[in-house]
Amino acid sequence: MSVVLPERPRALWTPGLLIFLLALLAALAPSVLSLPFPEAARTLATGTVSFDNGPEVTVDLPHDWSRSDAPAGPAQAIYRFEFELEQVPETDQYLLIRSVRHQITTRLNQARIEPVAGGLWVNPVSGSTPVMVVPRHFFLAGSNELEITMERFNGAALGHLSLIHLGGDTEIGLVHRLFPILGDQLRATAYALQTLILLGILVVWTARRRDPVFGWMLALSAGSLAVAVAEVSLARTDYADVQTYLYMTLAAFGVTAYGLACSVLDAPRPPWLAPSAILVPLTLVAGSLLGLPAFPLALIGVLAAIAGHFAAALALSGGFARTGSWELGLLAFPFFLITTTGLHDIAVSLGILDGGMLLSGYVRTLTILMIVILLMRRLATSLKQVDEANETLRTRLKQREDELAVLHERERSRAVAAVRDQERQRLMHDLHDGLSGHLVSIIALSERETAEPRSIEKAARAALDDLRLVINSLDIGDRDLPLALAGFRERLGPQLRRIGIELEWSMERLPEISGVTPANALSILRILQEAVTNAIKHGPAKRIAISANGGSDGSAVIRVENDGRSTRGDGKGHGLANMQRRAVQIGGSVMLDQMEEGMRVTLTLPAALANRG
Amino acid sequence: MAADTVRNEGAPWRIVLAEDDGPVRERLAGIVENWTGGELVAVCPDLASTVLAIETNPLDLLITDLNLPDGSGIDAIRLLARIRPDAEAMVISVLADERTVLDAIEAGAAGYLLKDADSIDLAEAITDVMSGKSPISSSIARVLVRRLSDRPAAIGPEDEPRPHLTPRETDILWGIAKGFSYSELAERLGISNQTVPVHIRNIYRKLQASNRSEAVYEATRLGLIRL
Repeated sequence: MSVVLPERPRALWTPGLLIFLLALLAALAPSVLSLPFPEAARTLATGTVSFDNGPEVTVDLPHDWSRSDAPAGPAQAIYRFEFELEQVPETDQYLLIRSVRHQITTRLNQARIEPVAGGLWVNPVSGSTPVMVVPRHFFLAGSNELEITMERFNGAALGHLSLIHLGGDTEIGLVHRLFPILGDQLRATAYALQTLILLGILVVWTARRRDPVFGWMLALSAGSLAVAVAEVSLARTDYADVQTYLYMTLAAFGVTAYGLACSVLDAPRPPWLAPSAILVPLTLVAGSLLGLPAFPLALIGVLAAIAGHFAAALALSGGFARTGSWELGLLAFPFFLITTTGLHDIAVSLGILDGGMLLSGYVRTLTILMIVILLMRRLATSLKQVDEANETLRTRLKQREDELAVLHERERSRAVAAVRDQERQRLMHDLHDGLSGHLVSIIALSERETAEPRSIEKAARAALDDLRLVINSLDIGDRDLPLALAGFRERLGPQLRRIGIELEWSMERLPEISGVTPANALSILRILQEAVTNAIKHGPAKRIAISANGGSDGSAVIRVENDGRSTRGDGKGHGLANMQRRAVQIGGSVMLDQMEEGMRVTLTLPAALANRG
Repeated sequence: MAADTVRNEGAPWRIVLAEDDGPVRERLAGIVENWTGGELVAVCPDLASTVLAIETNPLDLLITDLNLPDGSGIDAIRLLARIRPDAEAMVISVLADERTVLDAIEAGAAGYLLKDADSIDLAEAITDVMSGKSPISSSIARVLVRRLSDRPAAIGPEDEPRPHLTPRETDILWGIAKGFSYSELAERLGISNQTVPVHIRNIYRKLQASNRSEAVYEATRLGLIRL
């Protein structure tokens, strides 16, 4: 079943642009929508910073590193803030940093402070919102010093430190204290979900290897998860160097995203696409290992990822505009979002744009989410198609059955009509053969003035007899010959008795004859009637014996014998010819014999009667 | 009155003849009149006069056509069976076809007569019927056999619509339906030639009775009769 979509008179780029703007808005959302400001808390806004043990410089928070402060590679910034306390607070205090990029170590008056949540799933390079508990005994009455050491192990991403808030239960509210914990849990959940989804896609992919969509989906989600885990786990270790290579491998995502878009669109994919998903990052990494500067290579990797997603988003929104399929629009949205957040993150990392958090990491989860929606939609569509196919089949079957029923009904009525017609033909033939002849001779006789008075009666009785023969044979079926003969006997007996002739009847030895039809039975009865009529006419017989015997090959032999005079001369006449004709028609024969006393008509019937044409 | 209804031994049978066709009626009436064994009580051209004749005259035998201009001879036969149960009835038919004959028998007729019967046939048929014998043809027997085996098997003896035939009667019925003559049957079954038509009469009586009980059963079921 092919579905022909109507042409949509819509500008190609309008929906694409719409999705792109939406993505841009979403990318900027974190800058607009942020944690509420804890007004009542003490805010640290001014301090000093020293890069790599260099000179201390006064800074106002929020502070972003500049490229001159910390070129690519490992870097360390030590921030110091001084504040006065009249007395040591009565309770432990909370320290809230709204956003910070890179790993930090915090000390108050030389005592180290631990964050509330582990921040295990946080990639510090992307930015975090640490909340720490500061034991009250860390504080001093009078001057206090807060020291934050920010460390970049590798890479080029610039550091960032927002305003710092300090306060008790009331000043730093529950929202702020829960924020890092919830964030941690959410991130952990997101990883767990991504793992589950990856498993799901893997199962679908193994079941449907032929469908490239699932292959690309698998690559995208597997890569995404791997990168996320690698980022988080490498950020804090001495293997931080590897993170630069991670940025180079991001190029693979651009290729994969474009491949997925092509396969979802059913568009032809360039043959180099799948190999380049591996070759491009490999080339970048190899270049770096061969001594080429790592930073531009990493930048190329990230830009390739962004470009790939952008191309994919454009293709998808183009397809969405053409076909109106929401599947494409749904996938275009996160791809655009990755493009915008990617650009935003690069700008932030390179110090072009001020900002706390890098967002790409979060958008990846959104992509996975869209993939799930896509999968579900595909599943639902397939099921719907199966249902529709079933329904179509059922409808067609029903139509076919109806057609067949109509045909059958037509065929049946045709057959019935044919049988009726045949029956009418036969009846007409039978009546014409006997009854009508007799009636015509009755007319002729009654018109003759000198007619013998009994002749009309004789002809009329003959007509009635013949009619009874016809009716008698109407209901005769196969192997019903004895019944037909019995009916004949029942009429013949009284007739003969009336004219003083004795009837001897013996049908007990009649073999069973097949192929008996009303027409055949009528022929047999007429032959017998003729034989009897001849015996009466030419006899004059005192006794007529009708008996049956078995002949050779299962044939039946019926003899009509009378004790009248020899009538051989007359017997050659019309009567015998008539009998002979009828017998031949049903596959039998008639013989006329002269006996010492009287005549004998012998009717031989085959075991299976021929059907009269 | 009693003297009228009781027939003297040896006296001719008192006969009512009902036939709508003039020449046939006259012909049959003539045959009966010329026959010493019968005495015509009434000759009726329609059902109304037949009913009147049955109600007013003592009679031994009703000979009626089924197709009367103002109704069916069946009604006359039923009336006779009801008000003169000792009298017999015969139908006259051109072809003596199964439907006509069986309808008449179920209404209470004991025999049938062909319309072209001559004096010998008529005398023989009347004599047989009046002496408790009934004729049957192979085709009628066949229809009867078929009809009996088509009826639902009895569940209880009370509501059994199927007449209960003795094995002998069943044998005879089946034999005739297969085309055996009376004499062939009698020989086979080891009975007298003359008892075959007596058995036939018994079968007819059971048929009539079961038909009546069936009618009553049907009427009860329909709520027409309260028992």
